[in-house]
This record gives sequence, C-alpha cells and structure tokens, in this order.
Amino acid sequence: MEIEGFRFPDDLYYSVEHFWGRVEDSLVTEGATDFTQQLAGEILYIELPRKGRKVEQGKPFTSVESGKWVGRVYAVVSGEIVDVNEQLEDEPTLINRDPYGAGWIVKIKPSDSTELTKLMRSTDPGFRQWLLDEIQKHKRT
Amino acid sequence: MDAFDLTVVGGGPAGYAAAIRGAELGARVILIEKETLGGTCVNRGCIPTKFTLEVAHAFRSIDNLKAFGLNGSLEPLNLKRVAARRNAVVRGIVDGMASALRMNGVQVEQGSARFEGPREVAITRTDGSSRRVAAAKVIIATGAVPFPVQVLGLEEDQVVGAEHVFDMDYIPESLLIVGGGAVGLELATIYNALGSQVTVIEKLPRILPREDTEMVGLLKESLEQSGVSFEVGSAISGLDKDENGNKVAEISNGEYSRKISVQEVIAAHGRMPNITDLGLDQIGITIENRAVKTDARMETNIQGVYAAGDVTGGPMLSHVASAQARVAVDNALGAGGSFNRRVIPRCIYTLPELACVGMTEEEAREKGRKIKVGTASMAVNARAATMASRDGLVKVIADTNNGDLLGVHILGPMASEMIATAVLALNLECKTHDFAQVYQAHPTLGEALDEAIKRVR
Repeated sequence: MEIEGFRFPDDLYYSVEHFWGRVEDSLVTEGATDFTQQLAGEILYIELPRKGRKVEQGKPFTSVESGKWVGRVYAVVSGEIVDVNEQLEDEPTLINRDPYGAGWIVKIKPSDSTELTKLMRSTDPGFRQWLLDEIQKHKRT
Repeated sequence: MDAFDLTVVGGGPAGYAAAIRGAELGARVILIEKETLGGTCVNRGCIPTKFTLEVAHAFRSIDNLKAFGLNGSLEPLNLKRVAARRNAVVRGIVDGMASALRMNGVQVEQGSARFEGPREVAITRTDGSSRRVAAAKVIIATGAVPFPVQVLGLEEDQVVGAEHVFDMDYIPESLLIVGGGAVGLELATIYNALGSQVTVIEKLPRILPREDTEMVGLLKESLEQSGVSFEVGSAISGLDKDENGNKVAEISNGEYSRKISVQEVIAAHGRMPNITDLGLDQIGITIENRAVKTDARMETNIQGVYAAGDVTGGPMLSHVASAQARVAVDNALGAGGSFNRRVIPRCIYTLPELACVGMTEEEAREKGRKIKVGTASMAVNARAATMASRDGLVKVIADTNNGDLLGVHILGPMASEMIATAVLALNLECKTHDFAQVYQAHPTLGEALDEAIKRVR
C-alpha cells in the first residue's frame, strides 16, 4: 500500500508512533516505517539497545538520529529484546534504504500476544485518514 | 547565663549561612547543631547524591562510547570504595564549614535546643550536660525530616528511607522508589545507570507536579528510554515478602491493581518541617501547614525570632535556605531586606538534567499573563552533537506585551549549569530583545538558550 508517497506493506503491523512489526516464528521484528525515515532524513546514528532489555508497548527504548532530529524508538509490543541489527552500527542508512528489510532494528520476544491487536494494518479502514492527519501534523512542526 | 546577639538553632545550609552573616555584621553568634554541620544537604542529600551521580554518569558514558567509535566496559563496582570516597567528600565540606565558623568567631554547640522563652534557649549536649543561653535575636533553622513511612501504610523495616540509601552496600537487582519528585527521580537515575530495574511510583497524576508539563513529559520519556518504569496516580496498597526474600508490592491506581516483585523499596515520599521538641508551642510561634510561618522578612509572629530554610516550608532547596537565612539575619540585625520568591532556580539531576527558573507555561497562564513561547531542541545544537548527547529542549516563556522573560526551562546535558544565564537574566528583569546583542561562544550548549529566545513568538 502506498499513500501520498509513503510505502506501507500490507503484511505488517503499524504503531501510532510510526514503527512496524513483523511476526517471524515466535518473535516480532521491529523497524522504522518509510514515513519515519523520509521525515528524518539521512539517519546518522542509532543507539542499539542491549540484548535482554525488557521493553513495554508504546514506551521508548532507544533513539535514532539524523542531522536535524533525534527521535525515540517506541516498542511495538512488550517483551524482551533478543536480537539487535548490528549492521546498523556501521550502516545506519539501511533504515533509509531498506526500512522494512535490511533496516530492521530489533527482534522482540513478545510477552503478550494479544498486544498485536492494538496495532494497525495498512488495510484497516481508518489507516489512510490516520496517515493523512499525521502528514498534516508533521508539516506544521 | 551567656548572652549573645544572635542564637542560631540548626547548622545546615540555613543555620550556617545565618551564623556567618551574623558574624559578618559584627554580632556575637552561637550556633547549636544536634547532629552534624551541613545538615541534610551535606550529609544525606545534595552532596552524597551528586557524588554518586558521577558514578552513574561514568556507567552511562560507557554505554555512550559506541557513539564515539569506542568499546569499553567497567570493572564491577567497588561500593566500599565509592562509599569511602563519598564520605571523604562530605567530611571535607563539613570540616570546611566548622573551620569557617571558627574563623568567624561563631561559638558552636553540639546538642539539641529548646526554647525556654522567646529570648532564651536551653541546650542539651550529647553528653547530657546542659547550658542556657540568652540571645537578642534567634534564628530557627532546624530543617526538615522525612514524612513517616506510616503515611504510606508501611513500617520502617519494610523500606529504606531516601536518607539511608547509600548505607545499602549493594546495588539491588530491582527497586521500587516511592515518590516522583526530585529525590525519587535522582535516585531512579542513579540506580538505573548502575544496573537496577527501577520502577517509580507516584500518587499524583504526574511526576514533578510543579514543573512545566511539556518539559516533565520529555524528561519522563527520556527516563523511560533508559529503562525506568513509572506508575503515576498510584499507591502501594500492600507490601509482602515472598519465599525468596523479595518484596512483593501491590500497586493500585484506584481502578485496578498489580503486583510487582522487587529486591528493595525506597521511600522518597517527601519531607516535613522539623518543628517538634523545640518548645515552639511554649513561646506561641505560629505554625501553618506544619511549617513555621514567617513574613517576607523571615520574621515569625514572635518579635526577634526568625526562621529560614526547610523549617519554613517549601521550596525545600539549599540555596533558598541560605538566601532566606541571610534575609533573616539582615533583618534581625537591622540591615533590612526581604526574600524574593520570584527567581528561584530548581535543578533536577537526572540524565538528562532538568533545570528551571521562573514560571511554567501553566503558571503564567493561570496568573493571567499573555505569553509567547520559544523552544529549541538540543538535537540542533552543535555542541550537544559533538557530545553525542542530543536529547533535550530549551523553552523560554515571555510576556507578549513587553517581552519580559517569565520562565526558562532547560532539559539537556549540564542544564544545571546552563540555567545560570537565565537566573541572571530574570534577576535583571531582562526582556527577549535584550538578548539580540548577546553573543554566546560557539559551539556551546548555551547557544540553545539564545536559539529558544530568538524563536519566541
């Protein structure tokens, strides 16, 4: 699905904080959406969290930085970080170039499988309007 | 019975400042201290926490080294050595205070004091001997003590009081800190950096209830990002032990409750003026809201009896205590003056730090001021970028009509130092346009303040 120039693959879950989750085996892979990376500009640095760090849905657990912006990365589901994308240490721009693939940020072992229902799908009826509202909001700032 | 020009009851920041000021004005001064010079600030509060924060900074810096292309690790923490060094720092300051009092000719008595009359104080020394002194003027500077833990529905042996955290000779794996004020948040910062899983519980709907809502929201997110959890609008409704010796706290917010298992519970739920066992009721001092009531000259309802510092209520800050003490003594000895509440900086030594002076946005609007606000993110500050410490915001609040600076709030690295410019500016009643010709050095964090002022609209 593409809306106003921003890509949102249909098979992913999306949080209101603009991060995506993909269910892979029993884990949830998380990354930044195309919207996030376009607004941020070239990603210069991401502080990778420690493996084992516990995270809570909707709470921040690290930051990602571009030249003009430092953004918090919010967990899409609660659980424990079991893997981090160490490639991002040397190539943070993977988040720009391949946000849904090689630019993944962490893999979370979820503690509550029902939390996925709180996330959005790009095929949800309200998704398009939500995104248009967000585009307006970020235009103002 | 010896007679003095000035009797000072209490040797913390207020009492010490009062005694020195009295001596400077040529008075014959006696200071009575029950425990140790320096009071809470030096022995149990400001100084020990700021020292231990440096240790926390060091741990946090190790995490940040990756941003500089370095890898590092620290050897396990030697808490005994940290404690020894911290005690040495405290002792050095206490010795310095004793020395200054001595050099200024202030007589110091170690013991507890009790009013026998408005001009007469009975001193009971630690060895049991006693002495009475007469004084033309008296300054009450007895400070504050923690609220009893019973107000939380708990017993002393169930929790560690904030004043005693550094007596703990280990870093707990998990911690529940009761109280979302400056003390609770600073302890949360320390223990989180040293490896504890920290939860802060606050009964009010938000932490730091008197500070600017937007700034506090950003600080809370930064702390959450570091791994601190928060339960606001909540209280402990029960505290038990499990079979492993862990404490199991039941946390309720009125709607639902949950249980959390922690190794230790720290009580940082606030302090109250120390007004008991002083004989204050004997001389009829007015107590209001459990604090000694004074006017702006720091005099109580009893002529010749003044009070300064935490014993007069909030804000319970050391620099407020010293300032009030000087005002009190100036008035007691005929030099005059009044305490101005308008420009009081507040610094919260979390990571990042939050430093504020003047009004919050909410306060300004409540007071009916028409305001304009300017903000500058630390993310666009060059110095912050070189420090790999770009989390933060500077907010400036000014009066729309005349450009008066009303409040400055800084969240970021070294905010507690950066606020000094704003403190001066507010004291001099600067307006935003006064900064047009002020050139901060580049690259400095201070430029963020200039940037925020430029953006006021």
